[in-house]
Amino acid sequence: MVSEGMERVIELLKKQEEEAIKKRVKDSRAAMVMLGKMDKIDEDVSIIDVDVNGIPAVWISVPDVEVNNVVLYFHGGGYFEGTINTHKGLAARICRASKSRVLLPAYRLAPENCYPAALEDGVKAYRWLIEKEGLSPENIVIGGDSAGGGLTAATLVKLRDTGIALPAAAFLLSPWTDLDVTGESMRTKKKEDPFIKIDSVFWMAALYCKDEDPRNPYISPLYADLKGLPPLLIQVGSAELLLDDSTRFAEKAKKAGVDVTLEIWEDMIHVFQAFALWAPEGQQGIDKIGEFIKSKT
Amino acid sequence: MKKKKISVGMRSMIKVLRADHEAETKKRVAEGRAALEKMASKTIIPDDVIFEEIDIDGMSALWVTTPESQLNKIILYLHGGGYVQGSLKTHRDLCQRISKASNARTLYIDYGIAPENPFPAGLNDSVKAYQWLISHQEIKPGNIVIAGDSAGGGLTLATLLKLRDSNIPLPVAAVCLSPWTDLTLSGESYHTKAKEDPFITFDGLAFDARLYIGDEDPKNPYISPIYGDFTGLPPLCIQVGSAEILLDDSRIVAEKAKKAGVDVTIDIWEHMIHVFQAFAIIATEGQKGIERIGEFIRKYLK
Repeated sequence: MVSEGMERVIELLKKQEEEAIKKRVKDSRAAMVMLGKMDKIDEDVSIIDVDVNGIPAVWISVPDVEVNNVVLYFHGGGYFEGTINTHKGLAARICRASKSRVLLPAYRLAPENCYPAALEDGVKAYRWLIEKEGLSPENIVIGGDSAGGGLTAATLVKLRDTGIALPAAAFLLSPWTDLDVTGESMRTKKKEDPFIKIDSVFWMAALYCKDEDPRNPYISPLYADLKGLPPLLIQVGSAELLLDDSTRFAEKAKKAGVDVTLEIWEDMIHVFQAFALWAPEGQQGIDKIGEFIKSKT
Repeated sequence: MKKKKISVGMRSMIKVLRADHEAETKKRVAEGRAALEKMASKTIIPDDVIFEEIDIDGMSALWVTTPESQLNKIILYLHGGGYVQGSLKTHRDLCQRISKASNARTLYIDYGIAPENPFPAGLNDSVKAYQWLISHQEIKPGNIVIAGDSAGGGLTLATLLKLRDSNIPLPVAAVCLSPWTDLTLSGESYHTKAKEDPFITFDGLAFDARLYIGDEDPKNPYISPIYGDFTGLPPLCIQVGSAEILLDDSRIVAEKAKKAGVDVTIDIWEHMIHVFQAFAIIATEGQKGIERIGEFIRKYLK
């Protein structure tokens, strides 16, 4: 039994905590949008709004794409931020490098929509490509960065488990595959990584998982059985907290018989490909993604 | 050091990202501090309490005196706030209530906090204040109790360890309210109590720990006294709520101290939250906790 006064205190503290989360989410999203605005998109890129069974999305295209080859791209942002506008520059560069059209959906985000909302949207977008757009799985590649990389892997596992034909290949850029945050690089890389901090990773994990076990394989594909997955390309920087999320995932996939290419980019940071406008390493990474996609579709 | 082979563009991008991150951290720290001060500003302090601002070799402090205070019976108080928040504004009510219940005078110090002053600044400040009481104020260790809440409770234990290791005579007893004793955040209650605890979060503590520890080993017992050897420590009174993620930080310390031969009293308050004593103004349990602290301190400050 708790006194009436203490009940009021607890209520007040809970409300304060909820408001603090809301504010932090809002501020962080706004900051990411600002960062996204710094990027430039070439004039020949066409970006067309499309409704994917209720999920807002865009088709990104350049003049010389192979119309039948499609990349389904999941943006990053810790499952709580990121949207079409923050990632259309990166998606457009991947479109050009791979000569494939890119579908960039604004899948639902936490804390408003926790797991499994993002995964449901990921699967829905893939099925829409096949069922509504009439594409064949061998012409589709799924990819994503950070949380979107984790979502890519989780979507593959979900598709396999549901008996849906898998895409031709997938690429993961600095994927977040372990929401239980157990990688050693979480500690060993803390000085090198300029902007991802372990407490923020805990925070984002708690928002997305809510009451779910972070080791649920559809949340943390690191803990999934990876048998039967299509060829994977993983790119990660050596200077990031999330390095082990890639190295451990690649190892597990290899053991499960998956054709995995792991590229560890020396001294590169989390999703360095997003900085292609300013840094040549970003474009080099994207060029390799393009080659990979073209070789699989 | 090996020069990194990265482009000028990426180098400047990293600089921008690092600066952005630092600005965000600063903002978050400032907001957290302001929120705690705002919460504290809502308490009403009785007119018969006197706060006297003093300077202890460059550190600000308050003497908290109530009509009940015996002037030579001293509580050295270390406030909470995750080693990042808390000031001479935030814990006045708690200090005056503990002073009253204990018939003692409280020295409430503004020890250095992170990120401006990471470990060992706070520890050095608390040791300095204790030594100042003995050498400058000529108070006998037998007339001093060290007390603190949350991070201040952890700092209380770290101070005892440091005093013992430096062969400085120990205070007669110590009191810890919901002490934060494990900055590696390893207790099970960090996860099992997460839904119950309305006040503090695992990631919030991880943020505080990161700012306070810097490059030090979080298992350093002066940072996380849970990893210390408690042999020779004075009697301890620990109060903690059953509804807080820091429950195991208290439990494990009490167990370890008992094994080391320390006279430990641990009170686990059913359904109570982190530092529930701070809400004494509206919650009866808070005042009850404070009365019990008073009884404990009066037993030693005779």
